[in-house]
Amino acid sequence: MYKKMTENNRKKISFATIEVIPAENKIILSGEWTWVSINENILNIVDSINKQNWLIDGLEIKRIDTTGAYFLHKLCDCLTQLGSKVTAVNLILEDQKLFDLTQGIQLEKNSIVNEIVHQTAIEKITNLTVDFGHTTLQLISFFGQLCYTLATLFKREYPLYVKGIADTVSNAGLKGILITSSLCFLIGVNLTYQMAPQFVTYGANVYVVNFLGISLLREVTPLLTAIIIAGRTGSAITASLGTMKVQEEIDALQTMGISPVRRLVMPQIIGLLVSLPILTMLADVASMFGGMLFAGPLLGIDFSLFIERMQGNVSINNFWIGILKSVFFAWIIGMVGCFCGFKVKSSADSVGIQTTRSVVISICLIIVVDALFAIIFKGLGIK
Amino acid sequence: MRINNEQPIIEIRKLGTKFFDEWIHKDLDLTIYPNRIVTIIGASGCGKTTLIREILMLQPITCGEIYLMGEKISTYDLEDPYTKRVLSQMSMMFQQGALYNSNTVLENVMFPLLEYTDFSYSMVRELAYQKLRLTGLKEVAYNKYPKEISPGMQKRVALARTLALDPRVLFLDEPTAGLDPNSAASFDELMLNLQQQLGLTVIMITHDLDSIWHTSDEIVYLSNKQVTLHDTVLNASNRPDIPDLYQYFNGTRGKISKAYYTQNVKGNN
Repeated sequence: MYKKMTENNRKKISFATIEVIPAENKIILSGEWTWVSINENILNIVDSINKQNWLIDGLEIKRIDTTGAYFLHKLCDCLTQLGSKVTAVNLILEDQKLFDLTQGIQLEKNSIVNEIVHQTAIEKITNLTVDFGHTTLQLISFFGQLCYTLATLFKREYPLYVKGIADTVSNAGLKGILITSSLCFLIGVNLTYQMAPQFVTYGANVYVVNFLGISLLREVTPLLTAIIIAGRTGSAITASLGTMKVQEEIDALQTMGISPVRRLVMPQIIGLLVSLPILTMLADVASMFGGMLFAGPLLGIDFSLFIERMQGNVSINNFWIGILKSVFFAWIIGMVGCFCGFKVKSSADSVGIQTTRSVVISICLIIVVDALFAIIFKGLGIK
Repeated sequence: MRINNEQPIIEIRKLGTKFFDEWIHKDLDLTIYPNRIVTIIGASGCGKTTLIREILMLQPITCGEIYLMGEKISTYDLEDPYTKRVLSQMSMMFQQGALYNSNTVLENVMFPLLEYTDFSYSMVRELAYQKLRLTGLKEVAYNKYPKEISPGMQKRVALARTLALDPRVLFLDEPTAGLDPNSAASFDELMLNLQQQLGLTVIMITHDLDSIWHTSDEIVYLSNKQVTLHDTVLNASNRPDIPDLYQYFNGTRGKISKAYYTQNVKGNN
């Protein structure tokens, strides 16, 4: 029966019916026996009838399709199971052909199709763990490969693909300036706005400069810029490499004797290594400017005082640490993006899965590396 | 409603299609009667696939009318459930199979049934199983994913899925492309068999000459934005007045198939 059919359309269909005449040992079928007009419960009528020999008369069936034939076979099976006997099935020639065609191809209970293997929870967990281990190992080996390629980058026998680098700098860097800077500006504004009441309570208004200088330059801006670029460029790298993999373009490169890592991955990574620190610098400026703008009205610190405090109390190391971190973040974004792109298997949904994974893995790694840096710099005592 | 063999199943009148100021079809007329295999041929880019897509309402037409069993479908609203029911009488097998990769073979065939009918899941499963068995696919493949089975098997699954809603008109876009000769021959055989048993009207696009000679009842030749010829295969192959078509059937490759099949026809008679 067709779902959500309007009453008007329902009238146009003559539904399949079964009429039982016990006196004549006859079961009369009529109506259209197609998927549109058969009700699933049509066979329930059979349960209540007596055991006897039945003649199925289908001469009045208006039309039958394979679904109808399936129900017809099921009707015969039901009757046989209940202890009755089907003496004959009368159908017109055209329907008889279809009935014979579908004879004996019903799904049996012991068919291998019914043996669906379900994974148990333990198996799933084991598989996931093994998969995680494999991915980690592969990522480490990819890292090694990249390091080797980078080390031999300026050897004379390998050409440096400058156009690709320029493309990445343009796509990831230039076109990302507006979004990273404006978001970091807002974060600067936000932090000042939220923290201002706390500083006022202690009468330590002027310390907002120290707070902003350290938190923004050292932590927030590099992290936020990297995360935005991971979402914006990392996913794009994965999707484009993945599509190339699906279309066998990467295999084509390899057959020409050109290393995909050198030709496709390196330009992306170098481009990111160039553009992410610059983006971070610009975002640093934007975020500090945002803080400075709101420190005036909220805390009574005007621009000259803000800049003076910043020069005196905020060590330049904070800025350099932020930039250093962004270099590592750029490497992570490029590496993970390309790694996931190469892991795409030859299907469209695989591209989607790997793009998601690329963003997730790079953001996770960025935060882990950020935490590591915090520990290292603490240990080194750099303030 | 049974199919009346006298009434055309598909009728196209004065069809026009325009892409970016360029006419693909202009004043195209085509009448197809039921219960036969019709092959559409023509040079690449002459609008064979476009024509099929227009009949299936996958693509809007610029002008003209398309009728399916006497009903004018070219003006139907696609969102109306009734339209969908009318359209479910036509089904298309795409060139690449277009199977859903995230579903198993059986689930692929179950999909249209689950969408359209109210039958319970287990019953739909049995129905889908039946369709797959009709296409002669081995049971071991039913729980596999499309990418795990061979292209020949994928074509069979695609065929089973197109048959799921018992269409009366079946469109096949290059069904034997990319298959090895054995698979292609057995697919031809299967198609011929199902067409006769289920009383289908098959409209096929193919460049496979063996397939054309072996299965087709009629040839529709598209050129100059119109149907230039609509005739049996044998007649179509003997028309020196249409040079491209003549070359198609009597070129280096065509000659061999033609010689083989015409001889067979004579031998059988």
